Amino acid sequence: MIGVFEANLFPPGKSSSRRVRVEVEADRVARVYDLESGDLIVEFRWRKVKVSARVGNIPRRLVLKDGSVLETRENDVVDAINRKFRRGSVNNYLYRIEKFGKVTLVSFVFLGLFGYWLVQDGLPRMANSIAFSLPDSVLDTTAEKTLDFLDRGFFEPSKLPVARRKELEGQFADTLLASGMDIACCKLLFRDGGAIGPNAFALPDGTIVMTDQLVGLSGDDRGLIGVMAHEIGHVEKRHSMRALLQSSTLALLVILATGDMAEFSELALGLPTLFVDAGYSRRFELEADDRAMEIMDRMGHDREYLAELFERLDAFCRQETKSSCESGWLSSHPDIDDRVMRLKQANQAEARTP
Amino acid sequence: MFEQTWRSADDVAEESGRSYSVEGDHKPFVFSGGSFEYFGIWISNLFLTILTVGIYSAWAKVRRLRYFYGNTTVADHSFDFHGSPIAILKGRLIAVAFFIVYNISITVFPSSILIFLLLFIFLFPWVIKRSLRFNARMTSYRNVRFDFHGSYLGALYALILWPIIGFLSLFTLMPFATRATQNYLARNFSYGGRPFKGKLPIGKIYGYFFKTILIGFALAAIGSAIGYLAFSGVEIPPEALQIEGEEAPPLPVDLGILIAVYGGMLFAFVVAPTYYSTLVHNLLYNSVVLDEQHGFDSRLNPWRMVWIVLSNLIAVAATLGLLYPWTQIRLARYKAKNTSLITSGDLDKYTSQLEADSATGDAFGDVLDFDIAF
Repeated sequence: MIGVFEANLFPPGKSSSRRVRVEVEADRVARVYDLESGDLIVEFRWRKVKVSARVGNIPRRLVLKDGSVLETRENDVVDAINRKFRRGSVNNYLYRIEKFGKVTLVSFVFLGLFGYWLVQDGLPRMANSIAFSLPDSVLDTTAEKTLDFLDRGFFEPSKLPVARRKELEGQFADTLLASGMDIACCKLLFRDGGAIGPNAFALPDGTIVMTDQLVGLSGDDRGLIGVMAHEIGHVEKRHSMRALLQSSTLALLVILATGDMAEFSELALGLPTLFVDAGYSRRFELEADDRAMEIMDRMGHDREYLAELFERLDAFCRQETKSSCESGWLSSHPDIDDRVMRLKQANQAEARTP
Repeated sequence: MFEQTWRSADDVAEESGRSYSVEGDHKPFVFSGGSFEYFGIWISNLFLTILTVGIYSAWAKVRRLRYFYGNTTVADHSFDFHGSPIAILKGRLIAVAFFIVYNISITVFPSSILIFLLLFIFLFPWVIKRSLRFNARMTSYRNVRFDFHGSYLGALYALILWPIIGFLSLFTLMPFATRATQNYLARNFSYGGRPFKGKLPIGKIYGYFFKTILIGFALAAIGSAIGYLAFSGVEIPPEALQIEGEEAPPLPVDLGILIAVYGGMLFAFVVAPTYYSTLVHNLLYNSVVLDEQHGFDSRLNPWRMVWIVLSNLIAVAATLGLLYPWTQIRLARYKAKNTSLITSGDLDKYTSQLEADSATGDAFGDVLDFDIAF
């Protein structure tokens, strides 16, 4: 005797069942006996029935040729018979992996490390390579639509005098030249920012928008040149596209990995996503700051001017109501004090080693 | 057995002020899954899903559902899930493709979101209908499958039309929307070809609705007031609220206001919906009848559910998901413990009526998170 177990025997598609005893002999034939009367009901070759995969300790289903179903809770006996007569079946590998034990701990550690790597390195890398392989047409349309949206919803045409605009455009051209980028890569536009206030941003296609309010806030044009250089840095590194790719991929990954967590997806999982996104945007800002410093150095402008403009923006924000500040230039940006410090420190280090 | 029947019957009668839709033996649901056991399954599901770049997620779903169904037992028999991973995988691939097209389109043509919105409105009832049907057909109890017969128009009516009317009426007609949805569920399931029947009384739903609003507002007001009075004037320096990588708030924030605002949000998005949906869940289960012989006795305590959902949320967020398996087992256990099958007839006389079906609608619901609970 290879194995004996008790089961419920259901006729095909019927909800009625009777208790049976299944005896499996060395000849690979299973005989099903009525538990009460002991009568032989049916016999079958073990390899000819479909045995459901084991999950935890839920009842096992054996589907016989005619559609009758044997249902048993004696998983271990069924496994023992399977080991004997169904070698090579993958059925139980999953069960063995799932059993709480070493594999669980190893997968757990792996998952932790993988998650960390994905967020720190994998996702940014992937977004980076995609962003640089996207055709220009995609960048152009994206940028056009975004600007169109902003123009309709928030912006007014710039109220700066034409002469002033020309002057700034000239400085922008100089900055571009110093950056070493193709002169056709970027263009500068002015808008009245309205409720958005002092702000500047770069669109994926290289359009850089600066609001009148930012121009008005600046005390020295060299500060504005710093901002232009910063935005050129964003364009060069395709930050806006990368940010978009990173955050949407992250969201998709979270949904896929946790597709089961209907009630959690928004609250508990949306929050970490937000943090991660904020972390990415901080990296981008610092990268753009670095680029701005290089370009300013090359143009012979003191970095102090950009630092000063940052401080003015910060001061402006503190005066204003919180809401107008949240939509402002600093919202997703790293702590302004840190950035000002970086600018100044780098400046001093440079000054000491001319 | 007799004593238990008598006691639980009394409890519910007292709570809901009515007799059962069916008289008979109360057979309790039992959930026998364990946290550690499920932790192993969950981790390996996640692990293999990542190793296979998401492909395994279909198998993962089947194993997860089989674990929960197989561990749910009533009247000596458990449930089982029969969905084929391949069918689920196909559905998921379609859903992912759709998601990608959607994302690209709204990025490149932001105005196309209107077209998608329209598409969603008309696709949504179909997805729900298919999803309900797939899940019902893939579920068996005592070797016999369930089925779902809801129509597309029925879903459109219950899931789109009524909620819109509810919003337009400034929520005063929302209970009708609830009733429409629940009736769509109550009247369209079948087991072994025999239909479930049920009708939810609108009066009761209005009662739950007002109760939720009253208790909710009272609680929110008291809570916010206490929070505000106790902590108002305590100013949190901006640095303390700074999230790494984010700009600190420019001004000190009043802790009282913070507590009042977050308490209000917590109430609006977690406490009130959980409280209301638990009451409605009980009503739905207690209203459906199969063959005038079998029904349910569901007596989930709404406050207990609020507590479970809230503490589960905190547990998952605080442990970065580590306690997620435990929260699911805990929820399943509580639900089973407070649900019984009432039966006065023969459960052995049913016969399965159907064949398998595609999983597309189901997977759509899964990826885009359209799940509604039943």
